[in-house]
Amino acid sequence: MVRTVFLLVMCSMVWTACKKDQPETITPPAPYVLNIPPLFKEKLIPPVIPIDNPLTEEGVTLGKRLFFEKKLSVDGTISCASCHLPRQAFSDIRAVSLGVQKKEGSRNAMPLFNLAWNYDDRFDWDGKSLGLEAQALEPVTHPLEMQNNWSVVAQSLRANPDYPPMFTAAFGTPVIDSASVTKALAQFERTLISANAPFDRYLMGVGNLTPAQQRGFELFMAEDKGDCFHCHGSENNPLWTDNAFHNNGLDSVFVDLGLGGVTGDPADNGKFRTPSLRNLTRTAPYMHDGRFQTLEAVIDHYSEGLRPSPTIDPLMKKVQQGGVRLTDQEKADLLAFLRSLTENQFGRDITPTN
Amino acid sequence: MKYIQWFRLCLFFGLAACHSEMEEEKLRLEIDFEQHWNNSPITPTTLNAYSFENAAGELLSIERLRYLISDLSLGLKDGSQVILKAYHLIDIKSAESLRLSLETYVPLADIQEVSFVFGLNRLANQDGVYPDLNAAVWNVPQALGGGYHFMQLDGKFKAQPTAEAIAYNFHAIQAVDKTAGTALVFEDTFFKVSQQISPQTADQDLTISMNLAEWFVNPHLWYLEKDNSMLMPNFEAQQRMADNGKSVFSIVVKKN
Repeated sequence: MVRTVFLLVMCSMVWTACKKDQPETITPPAPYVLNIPPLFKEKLIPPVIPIDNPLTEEGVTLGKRLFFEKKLSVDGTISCASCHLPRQAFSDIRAVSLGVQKKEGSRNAMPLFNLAWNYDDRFDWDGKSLGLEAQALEPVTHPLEMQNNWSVVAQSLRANPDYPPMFTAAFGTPVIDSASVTKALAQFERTLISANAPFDRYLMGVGNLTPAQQRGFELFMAEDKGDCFHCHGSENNPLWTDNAFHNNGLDSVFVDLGLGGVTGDPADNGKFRTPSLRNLTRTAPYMHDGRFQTLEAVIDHYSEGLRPSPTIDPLMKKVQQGGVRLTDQEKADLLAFLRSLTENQFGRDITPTN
Repeated sequence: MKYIQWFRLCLFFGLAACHSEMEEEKLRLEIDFEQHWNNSPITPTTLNAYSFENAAGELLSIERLRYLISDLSLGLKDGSQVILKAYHLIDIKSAESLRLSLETYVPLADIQEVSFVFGLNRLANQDGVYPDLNAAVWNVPQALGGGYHFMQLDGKFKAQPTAEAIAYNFHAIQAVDKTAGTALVFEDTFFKVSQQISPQTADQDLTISMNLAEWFVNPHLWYLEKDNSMLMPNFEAQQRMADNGKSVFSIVVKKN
């Protein structure tokens, strides 16, 4: 009898121990199917999705929620969306954005779209962030942006009962830290795809260009005229950027070193990442410091306003003449073409609640 | 039953031995791409300075160098060819692009030469068909026939040491003549480079070497002061580039 009881007790203990070791059943997140536009499928290689941060429905949902989350900032006043406004193609109408306590930053907020097709995976105007996850780390702690620290952010998010289950659903664990927050943000950002501008529809055979747009495109593609295609691509690269770094003749003396400030190589001074030409009419002001308020001013810069410096890109070949010297008609045509790269609806349906 | 087991064991070892022999026949080729100016190496660390003097006496810097080769092949003794890689874009700033590691099962004894084409032949040079080259912004405008660049060599030059620096864009494409009315007239500017080799061991290193100084001298002496930019639509300049390019490359075989 004693032996039987002993055995039963032992069995019970083993059973309990086994039960404790068994993890709670967690439903794995559902893969998110990126809606790759036909032009991108046809013309480009696949997007960059890190192996350790695949897109999932739950991750993207969480990332979107966090994108609008003001608790990321030290005083709860700003979120990512405060400077990357969805209605502005996720850019800012200010030359330089305002951080907490209305502190001015030093650079223009870059628009956010087609980020998964940045094959070199270098982000920011100066390329200092390798990967979108790394990029998302910086604004939270930057003294001129959110001015927070990650342990406070994690604590604030944990205090909101919505978040732990969302993190569990996205990553299989309720742990909230800088890694999981930035992974979710990066997942959401990779889903922001813009490829339905009038020029896209023209390329797909379901739209037409006006004569001015057609002339502007030809000028854009002519090496002896605009010569824009060497940096901004063509109909065969529908990103409209090479995502590389160039000194485009903005200054002879650099206040902001750009890539040079990251690499420490003086030959990189004054170089900044080529922005996409998509959604231009919604992303003013322009350049890394937002110095140009209008597209007309940008075109004037390349036409007559180039400034020489030792690191100016050789593709700015007419710097001695001030630029490519376009006529008023050519400027108007180029502007018409550039406007055809704007997708008016992009981003407008993305709100904190939908 | 026992005999069947022995038979299976022998079959296993026999197949394993055959597999091992096949493995030994696999030829691994490491191909390095090196660039130099009359034996002075051109690397990312030697860019941007006015370190090079062309045959016309002009000082020049190199800021960007990308070029495309295609039909990288082994020529066999029976006259046939084995293509190792259809095309490859070399970017001096991308270490990844400067070394190719390729495998082939061609018997060593059959190999006679290594060859490649600078640029793309007319059939391969179709507009927009290579997504990786599109992603690299390597296209040629359709007004010039479309297709792809063969080379982008960009930098600045000084006609005299004290002269003002001027940009140059030495871009090679298929030559196109736009002067004959509305129709474009093309002339091929791709060319084949080949080297006889006799590999002795399974592991061979090949170095494809480009002497950039040759782009500016042989057979046409090139003055950047005269021809420095907007060369893509310049039919005659593209012809001269192609002529000069034929002495630019060499292929060296090294045992590793």
